[in-house]
Amino acid sequence: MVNKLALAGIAVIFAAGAWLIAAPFVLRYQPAGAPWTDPARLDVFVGSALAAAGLGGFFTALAGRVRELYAQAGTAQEPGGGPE
Amino acid sequence: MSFVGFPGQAGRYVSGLCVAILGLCAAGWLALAPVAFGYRSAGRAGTSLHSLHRAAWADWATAAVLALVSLVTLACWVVAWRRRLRADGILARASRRQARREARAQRRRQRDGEGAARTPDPVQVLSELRALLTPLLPEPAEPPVPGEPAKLAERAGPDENHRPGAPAVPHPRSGGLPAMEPMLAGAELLMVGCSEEEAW
Repeated sequence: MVNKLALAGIAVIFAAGAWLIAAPFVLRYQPAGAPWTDPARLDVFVGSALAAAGLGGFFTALAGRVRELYAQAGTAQEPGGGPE
Repeated sequence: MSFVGFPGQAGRYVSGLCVAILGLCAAGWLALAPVAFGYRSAGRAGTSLHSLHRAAWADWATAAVLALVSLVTLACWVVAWRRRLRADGILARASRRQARREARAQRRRQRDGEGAARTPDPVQVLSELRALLTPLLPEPAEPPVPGEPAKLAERAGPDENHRPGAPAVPHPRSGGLPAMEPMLAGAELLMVGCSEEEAW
């Protein structure tokens, strides 16, 4: 449960990054064709960093979880001795 | 394979913690940026004050949600890592108070076990005592023929206990094992009484 919640938290952080990238255009404080404003530049920059970190962290955590499951499956098979 | 030099499963937890901390930092930055860059007070060429307000509110709202989510995520990763460390036996399983209570209970169990090991079984002790004493008992002597006590006394020689300088060693008494039984029964009674007293 805690593991799932932690993974979901990272996914939400990634979503927050994506939202920050999209926010200037969705909320229209960055008009199309106009030079970039400071808030839009800052939001896109922070959003990109968050989205990249969230994506990397999510897949690293997921890979670790999968590796853990493989290790558990390996130790569960060892005592009985698998078919050869 | 390990993640940036962290062995085993640690890389997963470290990456989760890093992302959560980064999220917290970003939330702090987003909360401060509208004030630091003066979104609210100053309008620039090509941007209306209204749109800047919208940007500031968007940043603050995002910062609040991001801070909350990052805190929860951080707590979850800390709990998950601690559980893993406990499962691997690296962290102590219980709190300090619980560990102290368990240690006390274990000491008590050990003491009880030693006490039980030290208290001998009376029946076994008595049977061993019987086995040890039986060889010391003399063979039942034949009844002496009348008129020969003087010869017997000459043959036996002087009493060893009455030799000058000899230590006083009690000799086996005649009567055999049946004569010893009342003594053994008394010893048994004494031992049972002692063990009952200890049990109290």
